[in-house]
Formats: sequence, C-alpha cells, structure tokens
Amino acid sequence: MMVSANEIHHTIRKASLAIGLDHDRATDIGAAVVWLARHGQDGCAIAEAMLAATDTAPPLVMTKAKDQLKLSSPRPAIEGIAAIDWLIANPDDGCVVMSDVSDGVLLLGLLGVAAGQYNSVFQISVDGKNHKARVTMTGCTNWTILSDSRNQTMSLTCFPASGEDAISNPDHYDDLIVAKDVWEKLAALAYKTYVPSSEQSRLSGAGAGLNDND
Amino acid sequence: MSNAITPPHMELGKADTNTPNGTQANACGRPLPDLRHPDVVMTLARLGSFFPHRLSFMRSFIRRIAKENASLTMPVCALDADGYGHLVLTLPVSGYDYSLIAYSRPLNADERTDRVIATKWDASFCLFDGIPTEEDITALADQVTKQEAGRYHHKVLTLSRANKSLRLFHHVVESLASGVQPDLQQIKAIGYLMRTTAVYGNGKFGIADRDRIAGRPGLEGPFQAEMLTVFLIREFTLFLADYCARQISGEAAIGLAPSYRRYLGIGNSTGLGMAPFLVNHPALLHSWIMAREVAFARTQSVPCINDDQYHRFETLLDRAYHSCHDWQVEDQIQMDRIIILREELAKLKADISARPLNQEYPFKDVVSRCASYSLETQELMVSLLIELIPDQVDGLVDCMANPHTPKLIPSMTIAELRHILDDHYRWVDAVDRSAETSDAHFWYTSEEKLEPRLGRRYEEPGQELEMPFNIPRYVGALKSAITDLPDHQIVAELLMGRPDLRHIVRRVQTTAIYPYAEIRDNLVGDACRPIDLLRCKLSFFGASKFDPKSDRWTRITLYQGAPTAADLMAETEPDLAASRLAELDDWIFVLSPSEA
Repeated sequence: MMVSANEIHHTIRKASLAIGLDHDRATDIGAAVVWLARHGQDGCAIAEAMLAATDTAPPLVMTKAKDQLKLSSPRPAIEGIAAIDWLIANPDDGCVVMSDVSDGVLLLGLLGVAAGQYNSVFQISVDGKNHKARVTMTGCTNWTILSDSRNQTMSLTCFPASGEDAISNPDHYDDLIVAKDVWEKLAALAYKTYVPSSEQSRLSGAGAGLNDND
Repeated sequence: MSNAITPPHMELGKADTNTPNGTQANACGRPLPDLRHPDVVMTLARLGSFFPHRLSFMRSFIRRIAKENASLTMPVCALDADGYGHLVLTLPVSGYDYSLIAYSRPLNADERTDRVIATKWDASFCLFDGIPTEEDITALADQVTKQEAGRYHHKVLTLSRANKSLRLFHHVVESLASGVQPDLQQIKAIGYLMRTTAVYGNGKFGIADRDRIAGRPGLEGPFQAEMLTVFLIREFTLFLADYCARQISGEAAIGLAPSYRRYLGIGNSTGLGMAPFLVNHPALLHSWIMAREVAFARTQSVPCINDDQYHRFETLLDRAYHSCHDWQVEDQIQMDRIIILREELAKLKADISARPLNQEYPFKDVVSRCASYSLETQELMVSLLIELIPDQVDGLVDCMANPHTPKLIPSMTIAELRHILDDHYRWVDAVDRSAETSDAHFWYTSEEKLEPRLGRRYEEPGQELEMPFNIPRYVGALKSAITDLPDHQIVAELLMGRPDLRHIVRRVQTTAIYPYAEIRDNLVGDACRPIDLLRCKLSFFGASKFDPKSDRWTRITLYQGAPTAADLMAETEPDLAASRLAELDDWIFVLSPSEA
C-alpha cells in the first residue's frame, strides 16, 4: 500500500513508544525509517522486526578509552543513538567500535538522518572483510554492509560533509510503498498509545458538546 | 511591555542554524531591534490575548493572490436542485493550478457535530494539485466524504469538511429566493454560512507530504495550502447559497449583496488538536513569534510619522474600537475581557484626543500609554501598530517557515547546559511540583477517532500514555541529574547512562537557539487554559471573532472581511494598482456592513 512519509514517521514513532522507548528515541527512529524508505529500503519491515525484538532494558555499559567507544551487542534504538551522539561530539578523532549489532540497516537509517542534521559523513568499516561504506544525507554507498551485523565487528567514524555530500536531495519524494501486513502490525502497535475512550472522556475530555445544529 | 532585550541567538530561520554559536543576530538581513523578552511574551496569558495581524497566514495569502490578479474558475458544477452533488473551483497561485473539489451531501440533524468524532458532514472537500478529471472526481468522492476513513494520494494536498450554520444558511437562501437581502443583524451575529471542523495537511491519510510542496512558489509559507483551501471553501459557501436560492425561485432570486459576501467569512470549530502542534514544533513556533516581535519592535523605533500615518493610526484605532463592540461571546471569562478591552480602547481614544501622540517615537508613546492596560489591549495594539509600517513588516512573512527540526547538541558541556537552564527555564522554579495541582492534567490522544483530549491525572485512567508536555517535571529531573556533574563533561556522556533525559536536553538546547520556542508556563497544571494555546495559533492563521465555548474549544471566523474572488478579479486602471492592493489588504478589525 502507498503511504506518506508523515504517516510512516508518526506510525513508527507511536509504535516505538508503544514498546516502551522514550519519546526522543521514538522520534529519531521514525525519522530513520522515513529516510530508509526514501532511499529505497524497506524501512517499515525493518522497523517492525526491530520493534518486535527490541527489549527496552536500561542501556548497556559503553566502554570508553581515549577516543574510542566500544559496544557489544548494542541496540541501535538505544545504545546506537547514544553512540552516534558521542561520535557527533567527537568528530575527526572519535571512533565507535561495535560488535554483534542488531538491526544493522536501522542503524544506517539513524546515521543517514544524523548525517543530514549535522552535515556530516559517517564511514563504516567492517573488520576482516575489508568492507567499507559511507553514509551521507543522500544515501549509503553499500546498503548491504551491515546485512550480517550480528556476526560482524564494525568501526564507525565521522567527519564534516563537504562538496556533494553536503547537498541534500530535496526532490526525492517518490510514493512510498509498504506491505499491507507490515503496516497493519505497525498500526496495531501505534494504536496502543491511544487512551481508551469512556463516556466521561467523551463528554469532558474535549470540552465540547455532541451536537452542533445551530 | 518593557523589559526589552536583544537575545544573542535569534534568527528567523533564514540563517544557518546548524551551529548554535554561529547563528546570526539578524532579521532577514537587518539588525535585530530590541525585542520583548520571551519571559514576557511566552506566557499562556499573553499568547492567549493575541489578535490576527498583517503577518497572519490568511493576510499574506490574500496579498499574494491579489498581486497575482488570481482569477477563480468553476470547471465543474454538478449540483442538484437541493444543492447536493459536487463542484470544482480552480485558482491559479504563482503559476500552479489548485482545485477545490467540493462534495455536498444531505445530513441528518442528529449527525451534525463539529467534533472530530463526526463521521458525516454537510460538505466535504479536498484541495487537488492541478485540475481534476472526471475520473479523479469520481474516485475521490467515496474517500473525501469519509474524510479520515478514506485513503488518498499525493495529488490531494489537503482534506477538509464543513457543516452549515443552520441559523444563517437557510435564512440567507430563503431571503435571496424571496428577492430580498438577508437580515443584517443575523449576518452580523453569525458571520459565516458554514463552519469547517478540520483542515488536514502534511501527509495525513496518504495525502501529499508538506515537503513535497514546501518549495513550490506560493506554498512556501506555513499553512498556505490550508489557507488556500479555506479561501476556496468560503467561495463555495457563497456560491451554494446563491445557487440554492436560484433553484427555488429561478430568475426571481437575487444574489447576495457584495458587501455581505465580503463580510461573511467561514466559520471554524477548533479543539485541542491545535495545542499540541505548538508544543511539538518549537522551532516553527519561534519563527512565528519572532517575526511578530521583530515587526512590533520595528514600530517602536519609528522616529516620527507624517499626517497620513497619524490619520491611519486614528482610523485603525477607531475601527478596532467599533470592531470590539461587534465582538459578543457567551463565554463569561472572554466577555469580561472584551468589556475591559472596550473600556480601555475608549480611554485610549480619549487620551489621544486630549493629548496627541508624541512627535518623537509616537508608537513608543502608544505602548507607554497602554502599559497598565490589560493584555488584550496591549496585544491588540501590537496588531494595530504592525499595520502602520507595512514596508518594514511584510518581508518578514518569508521568515516564518522553519524547516529545522530540533536536534541534540551532544558536544555541549554540562556548564553550558546549566547556563541555558538558568537563562530560559527559571519559570519552572515557580511551579510547586510537590502539589497535585502542578500536574493535575494530562494530554492524550483518545482511541475515539484519535481526538486529542485533556484528562484529570488523579481521577481518570490513561496518564501513562500522556503526551510529553510536563516540561517542569522533565526540567526538574534534568537539573537534579546534572547537579553534581563536572562542568566540562559533555552532554553525550550524560545521556549514555540517562537516555530518558535526551528528550528534555534536546528541548532545552533548542530553546537556547530559538528563545520563543518554549511556552513558559505549566501546560499540565490546574490553572492551564488550553484555549490560550488555541488563540495563539489561530491568531497566526488570521482568525477573528474568537468565541470560546469552553476552556478547550472555540469557534472562530476565517476570512471575515477579506476580499472575495470577485473582489480580486475586479478590473483596475494600472495607475491605481497600488491603491487597489492596499484596499484589498485592509481587512483587519473588520466592521459590519451597512444595510444592503
């Protein structure tokens, strides 16, 4: 089915809230999924799988040594966002090393949004395979680089964007297609953020009557 | 009205905002004047006293189409003898055609409610990008008449619906069918033929996302597609009344008098849905308020005025005075405020008659004379004074869109964060968070058609699903969390262990860049009147005749006194073009027409 970017953003945001993520996380994940969808990735399916599997336990301890931050089994929605924040705060010389990353493509989405917001470029290197990718606001040079992220150790660096990397692509507004079953699952999750209606809330919650024949 | 400052990081959305320390203290290329402090402006009481002004989105929309000599056409009219069916109205704006597809349907009285929970309406609309084909119109009919329950595509830019004012619509139709103009008193008392109950944009239900059209000439400003929609809905209602009268009496029917057509706006019922928008779009709110404050500040630095300007000031003051006497509402709190406003305007008029304005900085003198008056009067004077320097104000419209979403500044130190809290969140200290009254309310979305509602936290279920509007509590938690942290620690490191604080840290940092971004009042406290938020937003739309029906919903009138499409299309001699545009733009503090 065809959906708008705004629908994706808010449905993912609410679905993220429904599983217990904080408001800022939910907002960032919504933006990441829109970014993925606008770059031809099935962001909603990725998000649906992530939301079904993510636990919202407190963040794992992240070890920091000099300019390096190390994370094992990070969840992009929780430690991943924190790591990106840290990297943005330590451009040029900061490096994040992650192993056993769940939902690698979602991480790419979060990096893509951050690249746009901070006018930055992220460089991903996967150990042992000589795989590299760059994530800019306009896309990723290798979308499959984190497809096996559970079994990989990757390092992530960040530097300021320049030249073509610093130019956004405002015409990238194709219709966005989502599988109906995926959308229904996401919508069902989002629905959990709504408060059941009662006669009292119906009458007093909006401060308005029920008939306007005047 | 004093306490002016020049905040360090104020810009209007034109300058680069990526680096908070790199923002330019300018307003569309000009140095910033002294502005009223956000602590003064951003209170619910003051925001809830705003009036429409020349930067309001309806005003700027009308200015644009007047300049462009936009010409309305009706490529399709398929209404039956009762006025049911559909029609299409097309208006070109800045080189693009936009069409309102209107579907008119019978409606049982017991189904007519202005609330979001309605499922049927007298009329349903969509704004179509271009001119629709018969296939488009047919395909959209089943969807648009169901509104939120339909599915749409990107050729649909907005979605809306409206109900008839039963008091006025039938009276107007019957009068015109009888060959007489409707009763002026009824026209004045109601002011519209139909009330819209929502106008959806930005991707809702599959319609076009805002960013798809945001760069298009004519629709760059905030809510311009929505303002266009409502303008065309008003034209539809005026046409429908004439049409229905002709169906009854044929050639014996007369058309609604031009002065009445211009006076009639479009009604609107607005509830809590408007309020979360302001909280959820802090950067945009800042840009709106900032533009208005810059405009106001520029009035204060006008060193002297000529006789024409003085006369214009007196004319507008007189109009405001009379307009307030036409403003009658049932809500006792608002009516009391209106009565005080009338008294204060009368006093001001008398004062100025007895003692003309200072020759030096006359508009400063106006503000000084109003310093002890009510917020209603003070804010009305802001709207009035802005009107007097159009050349210095109108360009600010281009600064009112703000594409920037709030973002975290993870490299900020704890010392800097403390500094922002001290500068911008002192108001939180006045909230006694130990008292139940401090968080008596919670904002939520009801599962019933997703209607935004306000609940009593200690009496009703659902607070665990509340919208994140308890700013005093979040700020309190942040202050506690950073109390013992070293000054040099960066925010990113704090948030590794406290992800729950990231939302409020981002918000606080945003306020440092955009000082008018935060409403500096407790939105969940017992004393919060959501209606204040509604009035603020509606003033930026340009709505008049604010008519609260409770503390959380209101009726208003849109485009009352604005030129109709026929006014815009009237031919003018080229050398009169400038005065024609000024006349078409002159509809603030609208006065009721004389008997037609």
